[in-house]
Amino acid sequence: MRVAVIGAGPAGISASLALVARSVHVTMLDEQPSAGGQIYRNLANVSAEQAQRLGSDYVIGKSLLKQLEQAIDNKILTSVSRASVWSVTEEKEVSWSIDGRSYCQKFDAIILATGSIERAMPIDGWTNPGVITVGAAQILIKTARYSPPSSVLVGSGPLFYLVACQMLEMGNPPKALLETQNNTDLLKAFIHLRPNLTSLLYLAKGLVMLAKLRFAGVKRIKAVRDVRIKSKGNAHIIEFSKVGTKRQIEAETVLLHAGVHPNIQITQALGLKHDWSQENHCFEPRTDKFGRTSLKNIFVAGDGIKILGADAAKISGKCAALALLADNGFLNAKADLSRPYRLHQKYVQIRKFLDVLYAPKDWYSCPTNNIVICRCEEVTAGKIREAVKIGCLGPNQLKAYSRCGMGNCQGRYCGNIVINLISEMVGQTPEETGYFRIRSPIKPVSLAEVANLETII
Amino acid sequence: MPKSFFYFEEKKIYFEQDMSVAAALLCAGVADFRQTQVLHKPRGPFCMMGACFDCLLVIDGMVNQQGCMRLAKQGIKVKRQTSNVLSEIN
Ligand code: FES
Repeated sequence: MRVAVIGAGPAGISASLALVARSVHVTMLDEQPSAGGQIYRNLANVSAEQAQRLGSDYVIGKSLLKQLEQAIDNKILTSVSRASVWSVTEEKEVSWSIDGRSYCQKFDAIILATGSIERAMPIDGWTNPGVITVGAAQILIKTARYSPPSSVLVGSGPLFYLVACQMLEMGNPPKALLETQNNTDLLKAFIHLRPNLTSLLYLAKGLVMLAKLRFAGVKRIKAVRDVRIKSKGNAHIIEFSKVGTKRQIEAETVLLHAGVHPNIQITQALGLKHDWSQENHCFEPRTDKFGRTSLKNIFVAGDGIKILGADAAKISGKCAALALLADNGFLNAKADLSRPYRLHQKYVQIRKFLDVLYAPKDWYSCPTNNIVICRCEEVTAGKIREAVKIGCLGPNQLKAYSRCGMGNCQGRYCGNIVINLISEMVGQTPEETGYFRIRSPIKPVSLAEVANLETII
Repeated sequence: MPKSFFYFEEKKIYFEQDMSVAAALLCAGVADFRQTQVLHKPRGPFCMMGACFDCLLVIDGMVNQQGCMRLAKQGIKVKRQTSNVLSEIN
């Protein structure tokens, strides 16, 4: 049996390891230069000292990477790096591109572990050079040992504080944190908290990070809204309001973050059913509790199903792998499966708390008319509202009306905002509005590459 | 050890191992990578993980190259991409 695992983050690696442990050959495809996903990005290449600096949650990935090395050495696992997967079909053919050449291979089963992407935060100036995501800053730290100087972070979420702390450890503390959540959010979140050990440990970690930031004298300004960025070259002025008063701060780099949501490009292209998550305000692919989809032998694992973080993703990867093995007669089903699933559920409680605390705010998720929503085709909220007013029925028709969602990123960043705007105007639920119809190639690929597609047997 | 570099237009950009072209440019203070196609405004990297396609550059004569996904290599020639992409081919 040949299995493709797409994505080499915690879910993909642990799924692969569970499969190779049963002598099933795995081809693991990942877009980055080395395995680890964004959480363990470049971990194989950074010095021990640098890894330590970035925190225990980073270092912990070493053991996964080591096991992966072993599997590669034993030739039971093929790891393909820098592979941009651009098509996955129901027939389980996977096509990918490396350095301008494309390859296609047919598999018996596929596990999709494509993780998450950062939620868009469309505010005035978010398309200016020098305005990047908090996740992007973390990638710079991990791959280039570079922490952007004189940065201001805008937004909220667990990654927000983690990266602020990592910048601190790099000796380059952020100038200020402009936080979008307020005290009411905090109160509501605590009402939702049903603490278990996992969530208490998680909270403790969070408190340590906040203490570090406070000790270092990093300014935290909470309950900010109506943020605008005015840029002149590498100098940015961030204007915002806090309880009605206008304020501003200067920065060399602006880092935005409004949480993360599953990367559903492949699951959508496969035509799988997706459900709107009220909690995380995004579409999630419909799977059973082990990651089975409605297509036989196609599974989803990790944050690609639901955002629960790296630790949960590892268990989810294992669940999907065990389900795959069970479905194909490699093990006797049920007994093996229930334990990892129960472990996985431990991470749900804290997520409820985080979802309430850091819920996206209306002032940026349903922004004013002048704001660019589709970064690629430069379509504003105003143009989208106009299209709806003259009869545009949904995201797919909006493409014809405005080209919104038709650029290179294929709706990855504007998708959720489009759903919000249309749902609000028409007065319907996001579920009713639906998502863009995603088609392969899900990453741009040249015609020459498609014409010269090399089939691997 | 002599540091590696590539050319960004006329400038030499030095980089270390494991750096993408986009990371090396950002480290050197270059955030403006291209001119957008519709509004002709400056644009630079946003996600650094291959999802947003805002980091497109002309690399060794090839247009639409994702700067954040290409590892920096000694001597390559990198250029800003203008809004008229077709005019950049050859
Ligand atoms: S910065 Fe987003 S694709 Fe390169």
